Amino acid sequence: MKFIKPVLLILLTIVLGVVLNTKVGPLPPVGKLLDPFHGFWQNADKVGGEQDTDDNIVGLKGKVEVYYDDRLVPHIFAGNDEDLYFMQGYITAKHRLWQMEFQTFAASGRISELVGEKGANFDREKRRTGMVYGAKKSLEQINSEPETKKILEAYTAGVNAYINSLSYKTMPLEYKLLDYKPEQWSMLKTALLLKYMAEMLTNMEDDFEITNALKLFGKETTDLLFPDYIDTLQSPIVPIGHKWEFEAEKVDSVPAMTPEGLVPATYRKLDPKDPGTGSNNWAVSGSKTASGKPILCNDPHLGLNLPSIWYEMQLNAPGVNVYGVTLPGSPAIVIGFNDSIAWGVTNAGRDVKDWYSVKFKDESRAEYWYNNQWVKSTITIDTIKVRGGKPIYDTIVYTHHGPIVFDKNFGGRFAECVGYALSWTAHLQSNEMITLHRLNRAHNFDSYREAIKTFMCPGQNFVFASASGDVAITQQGKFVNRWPGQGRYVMDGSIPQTGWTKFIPMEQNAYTKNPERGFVSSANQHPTDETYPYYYNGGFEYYRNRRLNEELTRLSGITVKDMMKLQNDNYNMKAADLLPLFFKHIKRDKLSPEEKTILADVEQWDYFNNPDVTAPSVFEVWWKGFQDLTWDEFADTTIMLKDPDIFITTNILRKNPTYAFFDNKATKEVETAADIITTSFKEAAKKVLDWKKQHGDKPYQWADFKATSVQHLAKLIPFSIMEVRNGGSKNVLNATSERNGPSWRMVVALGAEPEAYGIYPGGQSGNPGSPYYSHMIDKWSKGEYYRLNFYKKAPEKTVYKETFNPAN
Amino acid sequence: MKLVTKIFLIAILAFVLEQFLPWWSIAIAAFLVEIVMGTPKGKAFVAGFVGIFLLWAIVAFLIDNANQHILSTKMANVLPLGGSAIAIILVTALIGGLLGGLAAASGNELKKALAK
Repeated sequence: MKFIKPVLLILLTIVLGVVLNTKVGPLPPVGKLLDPFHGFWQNADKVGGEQDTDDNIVGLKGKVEVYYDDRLVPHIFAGNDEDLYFMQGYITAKHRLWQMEFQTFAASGRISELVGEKGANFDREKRRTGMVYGAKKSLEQINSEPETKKILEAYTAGVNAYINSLSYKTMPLEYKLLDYKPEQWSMLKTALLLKYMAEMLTNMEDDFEITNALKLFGKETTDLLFPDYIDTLQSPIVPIGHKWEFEAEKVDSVPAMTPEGLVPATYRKLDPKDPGTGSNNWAVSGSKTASGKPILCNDPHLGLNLPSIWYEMQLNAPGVNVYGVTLPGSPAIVIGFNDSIAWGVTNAGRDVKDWYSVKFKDESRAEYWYNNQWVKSTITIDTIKVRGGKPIYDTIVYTHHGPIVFDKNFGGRFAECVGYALSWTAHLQSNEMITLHRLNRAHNFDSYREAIKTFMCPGQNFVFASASGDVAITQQGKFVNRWPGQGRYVMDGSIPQTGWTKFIPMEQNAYTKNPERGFVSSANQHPTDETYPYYYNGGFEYYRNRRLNEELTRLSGITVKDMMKLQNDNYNMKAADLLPLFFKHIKRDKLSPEEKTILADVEQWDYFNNPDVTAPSVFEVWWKGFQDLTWDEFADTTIMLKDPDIFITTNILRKNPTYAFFDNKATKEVETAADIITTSFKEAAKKVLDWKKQHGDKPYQWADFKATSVQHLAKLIPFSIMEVRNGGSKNVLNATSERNGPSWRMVVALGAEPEAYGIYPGGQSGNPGSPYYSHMIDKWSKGEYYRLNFYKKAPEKTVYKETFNPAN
Repeated sequence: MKLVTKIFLIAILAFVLEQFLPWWSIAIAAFLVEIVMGTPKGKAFVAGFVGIFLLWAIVAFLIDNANQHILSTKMANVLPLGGSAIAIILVTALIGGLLGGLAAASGNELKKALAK
């Protein structure tokens, strides 16, 4: 009996220990996490605690030195390419491991393993769209080329050398919070990461939506509302009037065959495309600059997240010395410069995803109808592991078009024997990595063209400038040689002619070198005018390019400062297009005195979306309301539909303010544009006044109203930076919207020595406990830059240095 | 005096064990010190609680200071503590102290039972 008390107490102690060591529901293992010797406190980096280190690592061939500057940018000096990429992997993992791995979990549809069942639909969509299928194809290509195999093996070994050095104590904080451990890195994970980028940047297809519009409103209306090209107010990448010096290869044309009836029911995009994704890039020739040498600029607009999508680095080894930003998880520099050239990218926005309706013979879906016969499909069963739950099994059917994404089991209520297959250039064998590897080492126009020719997906506008004075831009990617209209609608998958037969030869992709106007530029607009000998479609932007090209045309004696100013330009071309029409039509007699005051404020506005003015807030709500009221016919939530672009709406308003679509179907009266402009204005006035009331009578200044935030990838608000004060907007050169914006601003003045500036909204460390986690955001929001430290040889003095030697 | 000595020893032993073992080694430290030094009226829980509380509070405080509260203020929002660095240091110490106290009391009771 005497042992009852001690035994009970010991048991109680053990139970408490176990409970505090276990994840309970959403709560992390509290004791383990709070322990100052191993838990989260160990991720609290000492401020100013950087010091030189020496390490021995298995897998290195020779000594590698890594010099960190005052922003924690590593400058890697290695003796050969393998050591260089090994160390790139190691150092990136050291600062960004959790992010690298999390993104590959997302890419391969494994989020349920971390968050449980709520990730299931996300995961199923990723698997059904063939992310892993595409990554495996790319990896085959990478492995078949000795050069890239070597690079990726070295990079992977470097990441794993770091992972293997970790213990719970030194693990990134997110693993401790979400209670899991990093896996081994693999070459497939890098391939997956590149597919993740491809997926993010190739959503410019609306096949389902446009098919439904065609069925509901007819061809004439559909062509008016969703044109492939518009000949007003265009400033394409290759200037209008360019002479194409090649014969286009012919493809057999068939009438655009769409499946019968509306594309059924309730398919709703699970992961709707991000309207803020886009980019600017340009290069001005020496004829327009003060120095007489080219200047190159680039700012890709992506989701504003922490850890940042980009990681800055300098890579130096015999034959290469390059600086720029990298994608954590993938070798080489993506956007950057060396001492001879600079390059940057924007998204091409071409349609590279086509959808096919597929008819199966029976419920087994083992055969489908194609070319007047039954053809065998390939059926796989995917297992999705679920944290804290039973695994989910998903049957995925592959056709020669590609995987069936939507069917009776997923995406909506589809008939038993029908499926929708996806053909996507990201499913093809490709090797984008070799492009980056070669661009990093390119030294003139010819080596730039040679480097980019293997880049297939996502299609990108590669801008280029060289110290020797050339500027150029190429829309590079693997693009289907389409018959007119091919890929615009969901197509009948049983007809051979609807499939892909040929691709546009790489050398016939749109490009321009040293054009007369003295600059090249892109901002996601149409690559060419209508004279380009190939048919193409896609999603293109209509505002930034015009402002950009107007400014570049106007400027002369350009300096680096002018270019920084242009990247941060807040001129709202959409407002300049639309507001004069709004002012012309609005029914002033219907406005209250308070509304008139608000309208007067907008009328006095100079169309600059500066942070401290109020008019952009009103305009933003006004045009969106106007757009919603105009296209109320498209608001049917039971089928896939999308509103026409605001640029199209503006053109219609300009030409035909009594167009039938301006009528609001919800009212008895027949409205014209003037009516809904007035209604939407009154609603906008109410919204901004409500906002003001809710915010303690604070004026609805644009920066406050917009409330840009840079958010942690796992949506942990305490690790996010909320309410970043900044101007700009979507469709403005400074494309900072609520959750998207310039994710890396770079200006490179070429010359005997490159003079480069850059900044991104984040920090080099992925650790929320580091002083380098988000430290650049403030300066970024003010439109300021850092001078980039590009060392020609190993620097004598930096903040600290890590030396690595091969271990025996 | 004995209580102060025990507190000190528990803290020292826990500090040493934490260099090699996971966080729950604090329980071993408190338990062992009571097994060796415990007396029937020795306020074992207090010794274990205060020993670990002080150790964890001091170490967390030193780390937090060197880190200029960058992480503690964030973590004090992940756990609902209003972003207070002091609060998360105290909660840290409290959790450690609780386990330390229970382990020490267990050690003390076991010693008593064995002595009977």
